[in-house]
Amino acid sequence: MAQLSTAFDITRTILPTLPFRLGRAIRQYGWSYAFVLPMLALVGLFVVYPLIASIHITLYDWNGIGKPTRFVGLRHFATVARDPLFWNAFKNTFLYAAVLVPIQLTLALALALVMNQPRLLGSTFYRAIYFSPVVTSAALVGVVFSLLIGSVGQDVNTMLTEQGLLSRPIDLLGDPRFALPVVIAVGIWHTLGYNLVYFLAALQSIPRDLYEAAEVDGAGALGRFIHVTIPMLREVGLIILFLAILGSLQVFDLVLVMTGGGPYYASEVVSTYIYHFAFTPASIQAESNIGYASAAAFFMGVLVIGLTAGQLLAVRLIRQRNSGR
Amino acid sequence: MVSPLMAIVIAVAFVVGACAPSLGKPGGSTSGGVVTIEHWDWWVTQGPTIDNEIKLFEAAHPNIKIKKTTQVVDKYPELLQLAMKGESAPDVFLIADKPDLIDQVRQGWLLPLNQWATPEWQKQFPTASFAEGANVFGGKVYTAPFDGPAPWLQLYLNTKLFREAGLVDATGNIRAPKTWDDVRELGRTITQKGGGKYYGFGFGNKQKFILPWQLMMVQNSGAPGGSSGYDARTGGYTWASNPAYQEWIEFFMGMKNDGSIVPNAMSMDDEMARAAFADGKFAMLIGGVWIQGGWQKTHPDFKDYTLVQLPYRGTQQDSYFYRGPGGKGFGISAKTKHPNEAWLWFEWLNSKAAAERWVKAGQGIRAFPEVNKPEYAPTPQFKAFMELAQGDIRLGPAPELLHPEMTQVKTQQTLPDIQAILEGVYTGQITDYKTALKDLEARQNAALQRAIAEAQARGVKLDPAWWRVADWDLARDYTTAVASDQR
Amino acid sequence: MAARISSWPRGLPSGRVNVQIITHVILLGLGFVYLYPFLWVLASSFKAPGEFFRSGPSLIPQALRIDNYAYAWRYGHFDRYFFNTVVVTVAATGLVVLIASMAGYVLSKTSFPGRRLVLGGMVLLMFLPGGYTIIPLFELVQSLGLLNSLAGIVVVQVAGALIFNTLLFMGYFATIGKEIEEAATVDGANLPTTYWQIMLPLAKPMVATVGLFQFMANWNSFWIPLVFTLGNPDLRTLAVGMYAFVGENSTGWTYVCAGAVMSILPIMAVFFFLQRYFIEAVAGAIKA
Repeated sequence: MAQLSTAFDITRTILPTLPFRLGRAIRQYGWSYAFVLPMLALVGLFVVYPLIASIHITLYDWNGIGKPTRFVGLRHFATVARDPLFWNAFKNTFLYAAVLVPIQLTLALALALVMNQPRLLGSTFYRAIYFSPVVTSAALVGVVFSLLIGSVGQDVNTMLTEQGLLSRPIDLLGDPRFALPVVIAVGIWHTLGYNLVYFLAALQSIPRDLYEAAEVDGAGALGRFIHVTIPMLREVGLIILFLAILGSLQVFDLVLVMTGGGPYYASEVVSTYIYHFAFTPASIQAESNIGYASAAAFFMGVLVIGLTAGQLLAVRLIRQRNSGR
Repeated sequence: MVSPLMAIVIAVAFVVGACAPSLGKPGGSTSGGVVTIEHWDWWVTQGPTIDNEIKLFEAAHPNIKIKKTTQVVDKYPELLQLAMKGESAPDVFLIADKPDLIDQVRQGWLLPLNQWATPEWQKQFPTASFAEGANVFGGKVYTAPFDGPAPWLQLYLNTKLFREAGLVDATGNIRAPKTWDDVRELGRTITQKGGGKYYGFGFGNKQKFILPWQLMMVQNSGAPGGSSGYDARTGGYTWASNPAYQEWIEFFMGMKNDGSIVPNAMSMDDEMARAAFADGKFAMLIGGVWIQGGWQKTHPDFKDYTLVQLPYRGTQQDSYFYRGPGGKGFGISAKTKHPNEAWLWFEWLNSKAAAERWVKAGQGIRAFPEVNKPEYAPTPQFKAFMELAQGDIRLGPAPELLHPEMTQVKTQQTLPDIQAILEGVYTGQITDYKTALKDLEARQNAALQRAIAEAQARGVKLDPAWWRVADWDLARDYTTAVASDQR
Repeated sequence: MAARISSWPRGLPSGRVNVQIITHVILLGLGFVYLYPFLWVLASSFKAPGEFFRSGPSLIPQALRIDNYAYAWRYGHFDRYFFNTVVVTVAATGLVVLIASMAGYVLSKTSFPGRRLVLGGMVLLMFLPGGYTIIPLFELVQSLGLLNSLAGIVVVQVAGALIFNTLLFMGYFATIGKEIEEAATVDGANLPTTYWQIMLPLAKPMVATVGLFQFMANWNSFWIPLVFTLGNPDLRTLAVGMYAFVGENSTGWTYVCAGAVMSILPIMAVFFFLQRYFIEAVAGAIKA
């Protein structure tokens, strides 16, 4: 994450000398600015502005209708920070990411290495297959698995109860012990295709002559993997890792359609926790509170930033100490 | 070199992106003397009936065209709110369930209809159809009741399974359950007979409102607030103080421990549960009248079912379903450019002739008692529903009609709510359900008190005593609330 | 002979055949797990509504009900919505690939003052929630006069996808060795020429990857096209049109499946089309 960590010493390097450098910078790096400008303009207008324009609603009780008027200050943040249900969702979210990311990335990399073999027959065919869950919407995935678990589960249950191995039939997604593990398993399955394709693209950027050279030096398959593939994948691999972690910390659709966060919060993740406040079902005699939901979402964002920054800082300190010695 | 193909794609992207046409300005428009009225609803299954009304209406009014947009149901309130921000508001629309009607009026979304909806016009509706504070605000009418009063949930019975289990009385009718004890006993018998092939009772809890539907069995059992837990007689929540809730949990968990409930009830969704019921996987299911239309689509040959009112506790019915005065349906946008034409369409939708066609199509019962004739029912089950609707509902108290300030009080959600608690109890994550109910009661009452205090702090004049309606007799229509009826 | 070079484990010829067979058995077995839901959706698109629920995991419909497709086509207005979807998807995908690769390139290969600031801002935005109200964005699009237009959908979709994909391109360009670029600079090529003639073609695998994912995301996008056209039937995309089968209390699942198959097919076509780029890229790398 070296690329990204650079962000954290912005203040040290840039701000003090800004006015002096600006003119020369634009002359020297004119094309660079021209190339980032479209991105910055669009993001600034359609991402940053709405974010800033809506941040104040975290300070209100607001049901989403009209202008927010019921100001509550920072109370929502205090409430979130003290809500055991939030921390339960937080724990589940990290569990989801901690189990899913390593398994999914290892599996994706292994499959990518196999499929990257020019001699493998039908690799196009396999790529399409492993990619196919990604094109199936989360809503349909939810229905497929509910029906699957409903009918296959029933057969397995009947068999197990007849064998005396089970006293009562198990309802996988309705059982607090199994709900989250099942959701994680489906999550690994559902989005593996993305990482597979990223890894494939990355593997193809590695020049073949590096492998050739390694082979001439007498490196075996494992040696080539360790000394050529891994170093060459480092940059893009870190970004894939970063995106996979962020993506799984924001998991939403899949949990919502498979368990809705239940039973009794057993598979609740932060995004479904937030959703429950933003969209209170009509059957409940209470207000939706988009102010609270926004505050919780913001709190989670800051928490994750804090954890990431802390981790990067720790890594840097360790490195400095090691190099200082 | 980038391949020519890529270059072409990128060029096309620029051109299209830059000058994609701004098509179809919504909002009513006039061209060649023909006025187009924009109509919004979220009705998918009712769509064909509405389309038929449009056809009839356009034939009767050749100078008006109706452009119908059926919106995605769960995004409807949000879309309506956004549409009201610009010039895109529909002329005639189905009023969203959220926010409260009074808040929609406060936002200035709705056109007052008094110039057309005269007292004369209102008279064709039954008494208490228009009530200050419900659908009339400051003497201005904004909508008209569409649906007729009916208990919104019933207990559906798969008669084939009842017969297979030999649950038939001397006259050859199935033994329909009246009480919780009946449900439990019948459920056990059917489950035994099924031997793992089918069960007594089922539901599909995946959407987070289905366990509260099961809890609605307290509605006829002395808990007039049903699954909301609220009781107007005390002006507060009564999860623990009304024994009906706790006793229902004991009954329902008893049924679970008997093994009478279909094992995958927690992971099915309601739609799957309905299909499983029609496929003979279990014999009793709680649902609303809409599931009949659903079965006509998914299981057109499924006729072996009937319905009864939700069973009650003990030996007699202690309470009923309740409704308030007023009622809503369609409204007209305050921004419409063609109020007269919009009204004509509104009036058409709310006419007795259209209502009769609605009932005959089996879409539901309507606000006019005279069109809800059992002989109009397209199926025996719909007929059973219409008959049940007549007896099982009462007029309940609605203190906010007398004190509109009460609607300024916005109670905040507090978790875990009843849905989560019931889930926890059902799966065994919560063993001490009495404490959980007590805790929920305390939290919700505190949230209500806090909301009242906050409204008072904002300067809303409120008396907490307004919430308490001590003189409510659960067995009778509560008519005091209708004192301010327009007529 | 470059073709001989690979990181594949080597052994005796017979051993290699065995390894190949085992590899294929594993890939196919795992592949079935991966393909199953898609096959299930395909099978369900031919089922009767009741059968959809009754037949559970079965992949064989009782009878081929092709009229599901006719119904989904007609009531999902696939003919009309197809055009809108193609316009939005092609425009948004092309723009994302172009803008993100440009930004990713300079962010990874030049060190202009302010680069760290831009990077920091991007990473920060990745973490922060997009906000739980769409109102400011809606008002912005409305005041730009882009409401109720396909262009409105395109700009919002593109803007939302830029940060993620810029980071991806940045990572990819970082893996491309400096020598190639330096050679070009020595030849006197300026930055746009280097980008267009050397770097972007080298990034073909990533262009294909991002292009594919963006194509898919834009093709299936639901919320943004819905909000910024307010459900206007003239401007609906396929994903919005699909909700014609989702009612308040029940869903026409067999029609949803038929619609899903029909709208997945173009994505599949694009995927196979882009495969050529992968293979070309591999071939190119071997030749070099």
